[in-house]
Amino acid sequence: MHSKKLVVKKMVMFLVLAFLLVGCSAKNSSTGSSNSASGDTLRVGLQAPMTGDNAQYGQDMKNGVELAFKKINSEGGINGKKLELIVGDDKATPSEAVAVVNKMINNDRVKAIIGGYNSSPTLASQEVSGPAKVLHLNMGASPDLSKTKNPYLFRVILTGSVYVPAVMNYMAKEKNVKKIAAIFENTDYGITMYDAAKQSTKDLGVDFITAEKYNPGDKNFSAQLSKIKTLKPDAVMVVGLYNEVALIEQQAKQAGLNVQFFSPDDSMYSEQLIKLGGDAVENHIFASMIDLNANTPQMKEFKALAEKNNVPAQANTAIAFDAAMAIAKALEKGGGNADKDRDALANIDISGITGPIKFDKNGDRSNTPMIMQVQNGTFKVIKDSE
Amino acid sequence: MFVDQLINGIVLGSIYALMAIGYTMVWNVLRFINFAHGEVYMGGAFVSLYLLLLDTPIWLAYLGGVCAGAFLGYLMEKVVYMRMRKAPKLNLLIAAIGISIVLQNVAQYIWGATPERLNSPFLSKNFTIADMEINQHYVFIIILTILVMIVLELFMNRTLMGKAVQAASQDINATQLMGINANKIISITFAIGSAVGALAGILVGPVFLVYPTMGVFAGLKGFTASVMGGMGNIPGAMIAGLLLGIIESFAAGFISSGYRDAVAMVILLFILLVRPQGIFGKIIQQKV
Repeated sequence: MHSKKLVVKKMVMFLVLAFLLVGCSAKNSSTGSSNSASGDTLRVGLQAPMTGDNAQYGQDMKNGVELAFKKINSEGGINGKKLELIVGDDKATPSEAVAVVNKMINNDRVKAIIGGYNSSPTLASQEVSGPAKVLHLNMGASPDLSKTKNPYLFRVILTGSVYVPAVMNYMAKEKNVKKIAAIFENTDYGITMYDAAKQSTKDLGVDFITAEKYNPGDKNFSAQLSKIKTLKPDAVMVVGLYNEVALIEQQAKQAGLNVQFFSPDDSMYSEQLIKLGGDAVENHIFASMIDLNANTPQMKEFKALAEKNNVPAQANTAIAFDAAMAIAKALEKGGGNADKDRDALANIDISGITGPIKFDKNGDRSNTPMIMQVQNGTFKVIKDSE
Repeated sequence: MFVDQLINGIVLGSIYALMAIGYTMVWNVLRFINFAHGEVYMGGAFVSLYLLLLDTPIWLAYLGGVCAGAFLGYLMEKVVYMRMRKAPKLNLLIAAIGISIVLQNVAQYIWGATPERLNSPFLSKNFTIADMEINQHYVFIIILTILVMIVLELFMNRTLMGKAVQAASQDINATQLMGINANKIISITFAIGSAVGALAGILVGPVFLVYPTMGVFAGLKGFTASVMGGMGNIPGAMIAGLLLGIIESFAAGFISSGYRDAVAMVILLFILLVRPQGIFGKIIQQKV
């Protein structure tokens, strides 16, 4: 009797579970079909680190894309369709990036992807989006992103091979540095930026006396900085994001290493750098594609929009905003056909917050960077872009 | 250069040592690895940070963080682990990993992902001794670590409660038969281990910043140190923590900064091959 009761109980449980499962999958397939029929929304994916050590960069990007979509949707959307954002968290790792991009393409049927922020995850995930013919507009800095031969891959920020010579030139000519110590992230981004910098040294008569590496997520740089200190460099080049740059300069002061610090790109351009680094980051020099204090109509409009929506106007937010506007424009012109969308993005010519948005044959921007410096806790342009 | 790296190593090692104590103490009484220990380190640092934002005096903010860490550890035990006393140890392990992930995400939800700097009165000042600059906060970390170690040693060997903890680590069932309240001992162990872990988080807050995932790395290193020192051996964990910090610092300074962790892990593997019980561990005969 007892065991019979148990069997009945188990049967009921099984049936309930089975119903639940069928219910779930039915729901999935129904949304799936509405996607392929493409109702009145156009889906665009954002591949960015939303959790983990780089979560704040992903948040800034999401803010920027959301601002742009809000603006576009309030003006009637694209060819009558509203834009819908699908956020995929790549956790700044290549494996997660591949997984979320796969999901965005196969389950959510996105028309285009914005991101990622980091070079290594982007290099991995474009292997998925390329064959699927999905537009992929990324924010990675590594020069390797120009060499993928993926016609659907574009980059909204400047490539490292444009940033690096600009800042190296400035350091050599204006600051007269001869011996430079490098400390960089042990990733595609850090290594390729360092290689690009090393290439530019031959013509400039400067020399890298050491190349110290750190792993993403490291917070302790004292060992590397102590070593750099004994080599007595004229300047230190840091390739990293703002948390790391702030920490490195703070710890350099603690170790008694008081020389000029500079970075080849604007990955550290954020109020957060000053908040975390304080006096230690004063005089830091870097190449930047954007000046948040610029007096252009686009910048004013962006800042007003950011203020209205209570979003901090960070550099990454502005760049992601530009990316979203460019994608929207391409989707509008291409009409949702993968090849036409691609051609529309490749031939785009609009003026964004970060200047004119145009892409060369590698999918890179053709603008030149300006040189900026931290002065009295604010970011000042010390040399305009050419 | 050598002395610079040695000091860097001792500072780093102090933090690893403080973390290792928590792993080892919990292992002693429950025979499992509390993988959520890193989140206590993070929680303590965040509570201190927010107490400081409320204009609390600095010593009170630090103390508040330590107490909050102790309470978090106590809570973990009472809410989750206590209900799994009879369950296989693997269940506890998975529960710990689950707690760790949940707490990281809760922290990101409450405080956001942006790293923040904890204040320290000493951070911007350096001692200058014979052409060498030593940061005062580093000295503060080393002094406080030594103090904690002495107090913990006294507690374990000179107080009745400490002896009860030691007894529980030998055989928790036998202690119960001797009339010692085993649940109370386990709670105390969690609270003390977590307080020390939270202190580690608060001490590195000004140097390495405070953010939701800060516990992951420190937890891994603390766990490594506790294995190196011989699981369950408190003085062993302290010394192994210091050793790990110094090895890492020298590896980064003299071999290659990119392979710092790899070098440290190779040394760990070597130690485990030569002494499977850890540097200071004893081989315990298992009764069949």
